[in-house]
Amino acid sequence: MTGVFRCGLMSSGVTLSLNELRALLRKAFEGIYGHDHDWNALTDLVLWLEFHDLDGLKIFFDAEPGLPCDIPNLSEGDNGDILIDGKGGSFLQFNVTSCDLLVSKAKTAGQAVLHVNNTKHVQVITASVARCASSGLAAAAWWPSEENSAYIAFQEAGARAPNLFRVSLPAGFENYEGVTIIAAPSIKDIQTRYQDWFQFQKSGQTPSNEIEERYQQHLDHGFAMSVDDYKRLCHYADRVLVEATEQSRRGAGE
Amino acid sequence: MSAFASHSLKCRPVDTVMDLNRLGTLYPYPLSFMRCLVRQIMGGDWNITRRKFELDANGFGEAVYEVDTGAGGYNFVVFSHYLDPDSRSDRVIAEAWDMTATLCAGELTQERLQSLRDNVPLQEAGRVDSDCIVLTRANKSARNFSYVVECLSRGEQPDLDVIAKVGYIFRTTAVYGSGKFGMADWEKVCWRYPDLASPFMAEMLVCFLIRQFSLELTDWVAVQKGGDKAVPLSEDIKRYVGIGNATGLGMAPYLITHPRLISNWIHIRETALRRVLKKEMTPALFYEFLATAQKAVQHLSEIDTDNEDQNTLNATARNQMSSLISWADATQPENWQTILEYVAETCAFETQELVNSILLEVFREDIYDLQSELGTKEVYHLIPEMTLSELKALIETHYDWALAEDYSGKSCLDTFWYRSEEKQEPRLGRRSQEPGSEKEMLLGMGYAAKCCYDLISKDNDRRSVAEFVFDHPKCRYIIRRMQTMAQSQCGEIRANLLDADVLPIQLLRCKLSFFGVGKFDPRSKLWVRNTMFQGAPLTTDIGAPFKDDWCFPVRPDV
Repeated sequence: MTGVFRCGLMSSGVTLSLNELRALLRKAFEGIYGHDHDWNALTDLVLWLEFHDLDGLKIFFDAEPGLPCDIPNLSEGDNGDILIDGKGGSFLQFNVTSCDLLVSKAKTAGQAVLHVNNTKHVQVITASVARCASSGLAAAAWWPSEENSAYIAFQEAGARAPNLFRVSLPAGFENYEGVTIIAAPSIKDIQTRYQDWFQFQKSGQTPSNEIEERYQQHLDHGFAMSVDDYKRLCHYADRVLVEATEQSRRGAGE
Repeated sequence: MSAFASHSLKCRPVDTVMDLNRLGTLYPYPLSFMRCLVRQIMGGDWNITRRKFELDANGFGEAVYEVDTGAGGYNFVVFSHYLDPDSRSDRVIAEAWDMTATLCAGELTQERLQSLRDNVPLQEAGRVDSDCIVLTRANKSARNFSYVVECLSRGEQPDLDVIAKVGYIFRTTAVYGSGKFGMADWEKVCWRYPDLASPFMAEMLVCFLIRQFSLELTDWVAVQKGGDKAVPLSEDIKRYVGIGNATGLGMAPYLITHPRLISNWIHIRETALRRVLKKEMTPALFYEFLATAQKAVQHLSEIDTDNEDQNTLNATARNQMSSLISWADATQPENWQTILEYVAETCAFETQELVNSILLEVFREDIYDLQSELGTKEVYHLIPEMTLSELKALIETHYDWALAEDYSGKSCLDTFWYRSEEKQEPRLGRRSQEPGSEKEMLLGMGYAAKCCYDLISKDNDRRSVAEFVFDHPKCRYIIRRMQTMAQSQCGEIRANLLDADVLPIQLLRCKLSFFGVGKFDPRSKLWVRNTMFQGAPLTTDIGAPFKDDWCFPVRPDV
């Protein structure tokens, strides 16, 4: 490591403040994408997933070797749904801009549906559900899990955190692929159109108050991470640093 | 008419107040953070008590000050070290200092103190716990410390001419907060320590406490050296001693990366000014204005820097202020607006802003309530449903200054800002001469706005912003920033920070004025020495009557 992220107390792990983790991730994304990308939004996305127990950092580490990937293909279905082919890339990269399309369409047309196929890390969509809610829209999303099951996330407009369930998929849904998200004025509007998904047997739930408590704990005591993960993040973040030379020292006022 | 436009009718136009050439001449005013802190210390239930002072004869060791705000308790833990004079450096890349310290909440157990002892002196290379709020270090002024100790140890007070030349005994070289090195996040400070939840309140408190420690350390070492002959520094001179500060490029990006906050600070200042201008000009207030102006002239005449440009600026402001005082005395203007019109016609930016600060001093009690509005939530939402034609119109209205700039000249984009591998220190490079521009920081907002506008202009007007950013994700940040700042009161700082002739020192001075810093002593166009808390009360003054009139500090009569 050539940057500043080397410090004491590193034998068993390192505890970072949330601002530190945020800054480190921002620099990591900046190192990957360059300075003019919206890496603040990507950082917020990863942190949101991490604090909601949705493996934000794990997804980041998993996705990083392929970043930045091509811009996905965008098209419109016959029924007006937004269709995105992720070209096999990580949904982490284009989740934010996909959600922009969803929110834009829902705000102008009253309701919008987005289907994303051929992509990795589909659980990232949960963050889009929350973003819709903070934009004044209700949203629901579902995506397949293993063994004929799927996840459903939904959130009413203005609610603080999404509800997340695991459901068992009945016959006829085995080959369900990709991820779907719907944004509408209220959850009732979505339930009316997609009632099947809300009637499947639920097998697990993460209460929203648990999610908030987890965040407060990180805020109070910091965020503990392994030395290996920390070094890996530092490695990416260090890409934004420029080698020091005598000439560069003059550029600091020497 | 937008809220922004209606506000601009009442305040000075935004192209006036957000011009960096003007922002780089701002003076502190009663809502500057240092002033807010001192009012809080002097006006509330605060107590600052020295709990530990275990120093050797040379002043090396540990000290702890307990700060009781009435709502919470904090410890300021100081480590005073021997420092080889050859290692003394103001630069962020320094690795040793005369003193290091932290401000922390929570109990100070022996185990925790040992952990702080192990880490605080390491500064950026150490880790502290999440109840620490600020981490800092300071160096002695080589000129003043030895001289003052020598005088006091002989039983004499130091010559004020020598003190006035520098104005401080210790100089901070970094004050870290907001969660760095494991410390409490700003969000946690707001949640757990609301008495420190104003912008930079904890950082200002730490500087105030370093000043206190520097004064007590000086007395201590003088006694160790002179024994019974030694005398303490007189209280009047102590109040005249501030805490020095060296600020470099590290502070500059903050102003660009926190545009909503900066816009808000400037809007509050303009709101205060607008409020003041409506006030009646009574004979008593007119006299107070003249007296404060006279004090400002004296203050300027006592500043002695090695920087010729700054000396010229100070001399000009001093002369123009003197002319203003004579004119006002002779013409007896009927209202404050007349004075500002005279100043706008006859004086430089520096003098104009000085007069604004003086007016705000005269009416300080009428603007204190605005202090609670200095903070703001920095959220920058994209409006994805906006059409490109609407976005184009927005840019043409609120970023006209960026579109008007000519970026085609050879030198217009020659500067790039980057982080060095040496402690991530922000530095400036010449694009045409130095490597590293591919890693530049995004600080040229005007140019980014122009590039984005050009791209939008080639697209279909009826497309939405969402469709555009899906194809051009690199434009997403600048678009949501422009959409957000268009709704703010003052918008962006108006300057091309990529120009070869950019003056980063203007950014530094702008921010430092909001801190309350005075006596600017530029060492180059990239960093500045200055003085904080000069003229402010001491901890021994807590509980005594307080008038909040320590602006424009001048030499005491001793």
